[in-house]
Amino acid sequence: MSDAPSPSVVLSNIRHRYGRLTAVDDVSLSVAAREVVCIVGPSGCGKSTLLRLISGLETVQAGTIAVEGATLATPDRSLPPERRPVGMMFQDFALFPHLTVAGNIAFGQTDRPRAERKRRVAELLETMALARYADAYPHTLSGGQQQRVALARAMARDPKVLLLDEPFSALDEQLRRSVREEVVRIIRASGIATIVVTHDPEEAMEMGNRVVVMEAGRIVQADTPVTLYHRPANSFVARLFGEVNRFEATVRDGALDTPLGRLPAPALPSGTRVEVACRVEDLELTAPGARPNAVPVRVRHSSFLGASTRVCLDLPGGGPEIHARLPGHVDVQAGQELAAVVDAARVMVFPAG
Amino acid sequence: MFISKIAGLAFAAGALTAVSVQAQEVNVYNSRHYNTDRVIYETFTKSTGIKVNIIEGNHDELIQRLKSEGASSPADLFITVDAGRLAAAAKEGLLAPVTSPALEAVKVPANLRDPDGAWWGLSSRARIIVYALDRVKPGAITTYEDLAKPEWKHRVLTRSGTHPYSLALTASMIEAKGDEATEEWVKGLVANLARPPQGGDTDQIKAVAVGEGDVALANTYYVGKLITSAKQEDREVAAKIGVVFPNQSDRGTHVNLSGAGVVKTAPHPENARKLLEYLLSPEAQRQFADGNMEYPVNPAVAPHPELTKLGSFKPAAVNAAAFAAHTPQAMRIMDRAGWK
Amino acid sequence: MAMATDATSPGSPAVSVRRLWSRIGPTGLLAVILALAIALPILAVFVQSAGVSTDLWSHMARTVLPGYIVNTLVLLGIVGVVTLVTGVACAWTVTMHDFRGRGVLQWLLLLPLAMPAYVLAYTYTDFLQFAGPLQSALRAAFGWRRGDYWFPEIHTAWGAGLVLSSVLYPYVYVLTRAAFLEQSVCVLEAGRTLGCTAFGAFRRVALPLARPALVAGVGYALMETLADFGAVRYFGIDTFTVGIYRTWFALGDPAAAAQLASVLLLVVLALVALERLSRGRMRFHQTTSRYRALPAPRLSPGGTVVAWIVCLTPVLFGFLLPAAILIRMILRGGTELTLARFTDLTVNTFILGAAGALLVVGIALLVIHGVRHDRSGLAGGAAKLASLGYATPGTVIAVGILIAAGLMRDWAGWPVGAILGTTIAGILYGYLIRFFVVAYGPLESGFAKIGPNLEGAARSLGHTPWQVLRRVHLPLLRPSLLSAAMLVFVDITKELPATMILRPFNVDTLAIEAFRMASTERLDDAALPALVIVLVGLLPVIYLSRSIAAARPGHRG
Repeated sequence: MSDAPSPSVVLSNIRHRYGRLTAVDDVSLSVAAREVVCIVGPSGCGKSTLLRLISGLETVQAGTIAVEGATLATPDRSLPPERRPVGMMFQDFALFPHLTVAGNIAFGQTDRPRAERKRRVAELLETMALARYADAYPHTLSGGQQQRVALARAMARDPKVLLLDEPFSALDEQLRRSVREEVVRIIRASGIATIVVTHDPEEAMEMGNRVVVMEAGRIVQADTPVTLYHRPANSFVARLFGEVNRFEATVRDGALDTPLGRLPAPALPSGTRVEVACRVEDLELTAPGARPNAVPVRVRHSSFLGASTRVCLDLPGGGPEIHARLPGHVDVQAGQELAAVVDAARVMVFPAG
Repeated sequence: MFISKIAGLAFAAGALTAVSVQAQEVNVYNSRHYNTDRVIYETFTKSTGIKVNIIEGNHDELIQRLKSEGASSPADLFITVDAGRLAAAAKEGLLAPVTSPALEAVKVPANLRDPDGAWWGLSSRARIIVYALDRVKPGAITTYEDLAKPEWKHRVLTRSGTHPYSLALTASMIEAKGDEATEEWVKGLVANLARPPQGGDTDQIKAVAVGEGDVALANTYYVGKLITSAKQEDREVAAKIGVVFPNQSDRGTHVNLSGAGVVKTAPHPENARKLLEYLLSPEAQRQFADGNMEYPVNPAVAPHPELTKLGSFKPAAVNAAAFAAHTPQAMRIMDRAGWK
Repeated sequence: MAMATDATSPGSPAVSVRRLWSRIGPTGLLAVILALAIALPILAVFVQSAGVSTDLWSHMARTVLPGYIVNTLVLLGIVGVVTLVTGVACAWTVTMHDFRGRGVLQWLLLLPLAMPAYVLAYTYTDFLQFAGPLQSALRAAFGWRRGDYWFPEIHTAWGAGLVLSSVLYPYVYVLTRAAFLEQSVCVLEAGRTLGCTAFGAFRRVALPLARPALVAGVGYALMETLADFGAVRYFGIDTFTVGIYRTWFALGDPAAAAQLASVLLLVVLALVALERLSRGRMRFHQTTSRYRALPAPRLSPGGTVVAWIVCLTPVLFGFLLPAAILIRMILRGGTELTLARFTDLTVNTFILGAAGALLVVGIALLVIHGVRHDRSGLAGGAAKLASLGYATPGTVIAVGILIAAGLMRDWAGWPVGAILGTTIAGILYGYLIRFFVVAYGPLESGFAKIGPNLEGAARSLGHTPWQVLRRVHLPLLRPSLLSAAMLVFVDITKELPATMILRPFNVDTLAIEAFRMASTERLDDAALPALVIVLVGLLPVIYLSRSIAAARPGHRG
């Protein structure tokens, strides 16, 4: 790996409209070689459109797309999909039902000599552990196998960019995790710059070197999973990566009064309305009176979830109910009086919106 | 054979120029659909070596085709069942006058040809009244006008008014009696109908025979066909009916004239003239008469004996150009009077 | 490699042309050109209609026009209801039930497709009229005379509507059956668990889901009815199309006739638009990808009898009875047809049918391919326009071609007209206009069944749209292509008016021979060519039936 990987894919100021609906709004993004970038966001946020624009299945309306320094698309001129060094894997796999597994993988290699094509197909079948299914038809394969055929087919042309559109959504829960690990391993081994689109934040964090959060056609934040989790750009990103307790508050004399106590906010002028959030796993529960800045709470009910226990709490004097997630099994009773405390450094403050 | 056929159809484009170069053929646009005519063309080809190419179709559509093809039209001779359409085509300048000693020698009656020879009559059929022998006394009906008299209420049968035969009859009535009298006549006729107009001429004759109505308008051609039919049931129908040649005491019986004219842009005008001469020759005229139960225009040729048995008659003067001019007006009158 | 960003300002015409080009692309442009070429003669009719026609309209409005409108509406109403009920009832019976003879009925029901409407019209009018064999036999047997008995009058809108329905219901049957076969049993079962009876599930789930197929089937039947001239003429029913003929040829006013034709086409366009609107946001594709063989309950003996009666009635009236009448006519009259001419007619019919089917399906494929790739919507609109040909009477199309040819000669000096006389180009063009939608429809639904991502996948695997068409779509579309070709073939073998006027010299078909004989009132002689038209059409029809059954999802395993 080179020290400073040069960007392989560069999207600049992409904007795309379907009629009156703005699907992608001024998106700029670059992906380095050997990097896997996950785009995550709710359905309709424009993430799939972005993939279709890169692959050339949609024509760019504004902005430019370049791969390894070569411009693929501007509003005036656009390479057709077949001339772009881009491999794409579809949500439904889109395997050709009239071709065998080998036929599907060989499909994109028409310009290669026959022997080389055969070699490449054999190699990919081997990599994907599909060698015995070379002559099978796609509909006879399991979901996981179809997935690997689709990946092999997309990689067969040795693209410079690999695009994966919701790659695991067609698989059931149990299969998904194992297939995902397998796919990530293969992609990383290939070293191809990859963009994965998903609506599952956990999947994005697991797969991506970097995760790009999109909302309503815009990139809200692009960072490593750790940064996204701990330093989300706004409350939407914060909520996307885990359950949070949210309160509204107003800055007064460099501090915020929240149901969880008074928190310092020296940088903000008095009178600023803000949203205060803290992750449910950052809330600590203690015996009443054990810590000075803790607030009293009463347990409403608790649920044991295996790896953790989720506790639902009432604050004194009404107000919103808050939640805490404690590791392992914690034995608390409904009606039990406790105290809640949060580390001020873990509290996230966003402008009220 | 199959392959050669495909080749013939698909690559006929190659023959495009050949059509105009190859002299030994003649192209006919024809609105006559009679099998017996084919014998005439075959005989012509045998004796002259000129191949006859034919497209059959509705005369108005063929006129449209002639117009759209313009100077590049392959058509040489235009043959129709209705001389009125020929007159109309001549008026639009689609036909070229043609004559020759052979044509003049036939002595076609003056009203059965265009004075300049833009078109020539070939054969005619008389529009007669057929009646039920057991229900109608001979002499009870003698004119077309009689069909509109109240005594024939619910007894008259006819085919559709849109058919060229009906249109031509009404047009001839306009020529003879004027618009108003014709409209009165059509109204009376419609009021006398035994049932709404339907079917062809043969259907009218059969309907008279089985008693659906007592009198009907029909064509001598169809009466002749029934009389000479190989089928017993057809001859039984013919035996039950009598015929009247209408208006013998005044203008004469209306006839439908079939005719031909040479197309102005004909690539083979000489061959077209030869075919026309042949069509008027006694040999071809006999085929019209005997094969197809029509009245030949060549005075030297007698009609079929069975037609002669129906009686000789005085035909009304044919003024094809006037009939053609009256046709739209005839249609309007029939629309107003409800002759569907 | 990198694209130059030139200095052209964004709003300049050059840029907008380039943008439009990038939205249409070469495939879309080809589709627009082809579709417009198909629509050209129809447009020529509109151009023709621009002429001023005198007082003709007021004359027609006072006299015949109300009749045309009423007759046409009544006829459309009868054909619409009868084909709908018959087609759906038969499709439901053979698809959702199991009984002895079901397999035979499945293809028997298609046979009327091979029967030309005008042949049916003259066999029935001749057979059932007062002087016809049936009434004559009744009178002879019972000693009745005119007025002694009641007999349904065949020369009415009812007679015409029922006869047309009995050859047009297969359109509804074919499409509805295919739609039922495609429906997942899961949705039907969901209906049952939600408290529907078997009939309730049919009425509330299966039928609404099959709606696009029903509408398309009835639409075909109605368009054929509108375009029909040959059949209604025998019934003496003056429809709008008959009115066009009368106005054109008897009243001698091409402009007014073209105006009538334009009104007809506008009505068709309006109906198409109305249907699109009423569908609104409803979607009809399956939400589940799980299919299971439809559980067809075995019928009791009584049920089997009912099923047979339901399915055999339309076959009886649309095929068996008229075929029997035709055979009776053939046996009665010795035909003058020589073997050589007979072979000639059959071969011509076959060649025109095959060449036409190939051309129409090929062009329809190119157009639909372009429509799918065009982002500007132009190609789709042009294809809609091209579909109008199916509702246009054959003669109007033929004359439209002649007018267009004449215009080209006048404006460009091309001797287009002469090509008609010597090649089959003109006639194939006529078929293309008339039957474009017959091929376009099955191909459109065939494409709809192919997952949209297959194309994207193939494109991103380095294939141009044309290569995708050849390597992905063509193999997957094969059943649809064959079905479309068969339908067009059968329609061409039956086609008369356009063939008549656009054919080259000496090319007669079976349909033309049947017409020649019928027009000179020799119905017995017309029977043989008519019956052979039916026989030529039978094989494709039987093939169609098999391909529909085979096209069921999951069937090919």
